[in-house]
Amino acid sequence: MSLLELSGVTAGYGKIPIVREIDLTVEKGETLAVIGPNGSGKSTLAKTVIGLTTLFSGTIRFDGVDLTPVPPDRRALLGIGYLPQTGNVFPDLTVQENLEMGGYHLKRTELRLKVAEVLELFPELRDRLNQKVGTMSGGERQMVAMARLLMMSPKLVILDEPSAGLAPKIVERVYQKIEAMRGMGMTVLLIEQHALKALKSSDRAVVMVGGRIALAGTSSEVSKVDLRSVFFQVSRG
Amino acid sequence: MGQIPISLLASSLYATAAVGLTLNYLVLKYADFALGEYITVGCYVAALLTLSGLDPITAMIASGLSGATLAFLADELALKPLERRGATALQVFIATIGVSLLIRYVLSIVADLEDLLFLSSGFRVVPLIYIGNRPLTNLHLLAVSVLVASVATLTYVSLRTKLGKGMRAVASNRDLAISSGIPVWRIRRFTRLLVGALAGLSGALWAYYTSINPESGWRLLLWVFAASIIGNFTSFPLTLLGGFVVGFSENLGMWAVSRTLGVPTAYKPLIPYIAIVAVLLYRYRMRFKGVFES
Repeated sequence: MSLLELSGVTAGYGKIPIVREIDLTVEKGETLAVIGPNGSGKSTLAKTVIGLTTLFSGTIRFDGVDLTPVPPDRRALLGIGYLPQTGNVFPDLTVQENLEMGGYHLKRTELRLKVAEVLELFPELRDRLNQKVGTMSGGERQMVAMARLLMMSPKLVILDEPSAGLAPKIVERVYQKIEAMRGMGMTVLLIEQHALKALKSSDRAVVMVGGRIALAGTSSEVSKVDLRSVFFQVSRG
Repeated sequence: MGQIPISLLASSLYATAAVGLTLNYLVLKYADFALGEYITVGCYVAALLTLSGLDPITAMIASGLSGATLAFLADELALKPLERRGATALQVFIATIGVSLLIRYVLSIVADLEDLLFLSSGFRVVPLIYIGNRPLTNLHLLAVSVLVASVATLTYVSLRTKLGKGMRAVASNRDLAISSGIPVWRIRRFTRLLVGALAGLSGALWAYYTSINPESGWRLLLWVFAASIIGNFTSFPLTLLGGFVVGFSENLGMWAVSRTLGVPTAYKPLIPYIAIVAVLLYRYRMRFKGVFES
């Protein structure tokens, strides 16, 4: 059984569909990259899994559970961790509080242990626990956001353009953390505009153009395709 | 100097309610026009209970509870269902006007039937010391104490408790709070209880200060909004300051203007209007600073 299964999903905002007829599965322990040009519906797809869009048709199943009637905050408790492209931290809260919000459902002692465990993976945050996240740089915020995500002990991690707007050096660090997550056996849905980077760090990939899946395959298969022509042909067609 | 006690009382009362208004806006993203009605209910509960012989502090706690209950019910029965159906913050804000009118007219009908259209509480004002020729009474002391206790409680709750931190997280980034599994609806209920309780407490103070009627809270709303606008609906320290700016300028300030320029003190309701317009003009200038100059 797949961990995440989307069949015939059409979703969008208000009355406007953005992604159409999406059929997609993510297997346990794998990393699936979703790549595509700007405006292809990648982020909308992620938000649809979380429940932040209007689902017009289709079904989404997670770990055998039909997500359709499940409200967004309950989906997180089922084990779906989501890192949005923007606004992925609580800027008015400290690093410590951001982490605590990731583990909101935990009891006090469990929370303390989990914070210690996550800080093992993010030692750079140890000295910054009392700093307001709003005062940190973009790269530092991204680290806080990823650490907060891990506080939820998610079964599936959805990363929406985790490298967007970051300096190359920071992007490397972000991808090191993603590799660490993969090493921990987490299932990752990686949404990226930087196709090469994403293909390198994933097992399978789908290419989205104009709100639909234009191409799917293993990452090595997809990396052999001339993606520019896929983007161009499908978006014109 | 004699104007200081009354300025202190008015400021504390406005600031207590305004902190609730700002909290509501921060967490729920809409300004609640029905706040005036929660104040009125607080006024009546305090007045009636003290008249029936209950001590003022217990009556005040009951006022806080009644305000909290009303704010909670207004949200559960009218505002939350609207939001669940996709209403925008502006639509919810307009709905609060409807809620406000509904509560006010129900209160008016009940007050009319029970012959309670004008009511004075059973609070006994006792002078403690004199400032100039005006006494500083137990009511002034109570008003300041209520404000200090409210702010201290709110600060403790928001910085030290799980629900309070969740409240700040929802205020900071609601979508992220939802996708992080924070129970936003539970936090919403908690916020509404706090907002209503603060309004109810300020209502009790008003009832102890003067006679009340079904429009008491509605009439106070302008002053409360002025304080929150000075706080930009986002900052608690500035909202507190706003309460004191409005309270002191309408009493001490108006007295000074009256003495020096001969302007009748009957014009004192102009003060919150002036404060609102001045703050909005200042913010507008700051926001577009340099845009028009270039």
